[in-house]
Amino acid sequence: MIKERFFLYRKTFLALIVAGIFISIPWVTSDFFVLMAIRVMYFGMLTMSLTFLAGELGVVSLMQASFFGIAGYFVAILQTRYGLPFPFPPLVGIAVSLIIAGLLGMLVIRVRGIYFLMLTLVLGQLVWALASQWSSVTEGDTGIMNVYAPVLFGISMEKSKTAFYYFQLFFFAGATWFLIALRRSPFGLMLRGIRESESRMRMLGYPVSLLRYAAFVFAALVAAIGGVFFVYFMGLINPSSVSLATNVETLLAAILGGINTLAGAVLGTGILKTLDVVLSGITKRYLLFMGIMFLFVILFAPKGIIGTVRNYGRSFLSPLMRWFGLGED
Amino acid sequence: MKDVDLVINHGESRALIGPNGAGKTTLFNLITGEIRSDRGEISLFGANITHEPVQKRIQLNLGRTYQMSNLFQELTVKENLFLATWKRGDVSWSLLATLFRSWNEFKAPCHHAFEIARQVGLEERFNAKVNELSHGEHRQLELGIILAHSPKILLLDEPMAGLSATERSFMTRQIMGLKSEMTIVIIEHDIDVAFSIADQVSVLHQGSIIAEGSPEETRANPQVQQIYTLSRNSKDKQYD
Repeated sequence: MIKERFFLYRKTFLALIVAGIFISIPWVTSDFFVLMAIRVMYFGMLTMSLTFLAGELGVVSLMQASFFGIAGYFVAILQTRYGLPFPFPPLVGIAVSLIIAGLLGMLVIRVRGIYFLMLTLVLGQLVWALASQWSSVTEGDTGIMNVYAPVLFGISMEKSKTAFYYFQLFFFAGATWFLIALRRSPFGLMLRGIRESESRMRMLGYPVSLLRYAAFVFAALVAAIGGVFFVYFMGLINPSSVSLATNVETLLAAILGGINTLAGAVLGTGILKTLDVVLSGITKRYLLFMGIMFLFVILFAPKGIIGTVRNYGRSFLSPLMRWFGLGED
Repeated sequence: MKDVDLVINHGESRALIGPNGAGKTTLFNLITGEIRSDRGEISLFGANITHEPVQKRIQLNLGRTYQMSNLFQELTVKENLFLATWKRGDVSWSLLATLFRSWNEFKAPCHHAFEIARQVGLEERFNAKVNELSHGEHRQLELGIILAHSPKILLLDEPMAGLSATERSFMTRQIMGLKSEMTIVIIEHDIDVAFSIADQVSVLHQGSIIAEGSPEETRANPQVQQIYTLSRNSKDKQYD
């Protein structure tokens, strides 16, 4: 009991440190860093939705950006075309994204492994084709512009990036807590059971398809929340947000950080987005350098940064991570 | 399977024996619903389950172990047994109830999981990952997972496969101890073990039941002796 309480406090201590870092960012860093952090958080939610499915169910989805983009498109359409006031556009956007995830989920839960990857790739491309071709609704390749972040409690999220940061941080923390709570719950354990042996789970009487379906929809929810903040921050949305490139970039961020972990999702997104900005400012061939970096990650750290740090049991970081109770995560 | 007519009475221990490829595991798969039957009828406790899905049959207290251990390799013994005990009705099993509480906080299934681990001799390996266990411990856990589910009829598919003599003796004692609590159907290549556990024996050959009776009757059956001699000879020829 005492050990359990100590364990609980250690995790609370870690949570407080992480919360403190996130809360202090606008006070101790530059405006550029705040903008980068905003970017990392909304893309981080997209990557977390992918790593949740990969880590818990053992499937890699190449269509999480679709749910991210669908929510974004609906926010843009409802605000710019129909003038709906906040919070209706994001609520409808997330709801539509969930309904589409619910419909497509009935298809994708039937397949596993490489077939899951292929089917989600095809469905993701279908969403991209719709965004690109259905010009009367989506404005085609130009996309929808002039989307403004809302005014909350008299503060314009559009004008104050610090306010936007905290507004997004609240939902980012909520989405992260939601996924962590799911992972820790019996539901999360059931998903890991399905990942390890689907036939055994069926023999134990679990509704395997329903559980896979629920996981898929929950992951889509987190991606959709990210999509809402993406469109509010960028002020526009176009087919590139639902493209294969975005899906692959999300997968690369997950691989870089550690595809089985939520922390890896955020870390990978942070590194990828930072390098994206830094390298593209130095050279036009920045994609070449990114490619070389991924080659090194896949060859020498296939479990990503978090996985590799955990593997080196004698390194100085691992005892620290174990102390914080992250060893079994 | 061809014209298989098999009746197993409540509380009985039945061994299914036969050479490789006789259809023993296929028969198990048909009973559990992992293979759908295109003809015939399967009844469990008087209810026709021929067209019922696997989950429904499990709800009717059917449990099975696999020839090859089918465990959650990356999870711990505790997590394996928790998943097996979770649906026993100790806690509210609705999706919503499971979402926002750590599985470790559900004390009753955790306690039951530990009791099962003790019953199958894995209490000291309770927090070890399954992929760190020996083959014998895998078989013990396999049995534990089924026991956690409290089945009324237990299908054991070669539970002694790959076990050492000591482990076999431990496993045999475990199964003998279950005879009073549940109906047991066992597939076992070790005839001595099968006959020591079973009250009745059914012999399968090329998808049909060719003999039924007590272990003594089966042992004395000339047709059974011939099949086993043929089977052994063909194996010897393969090795030659």
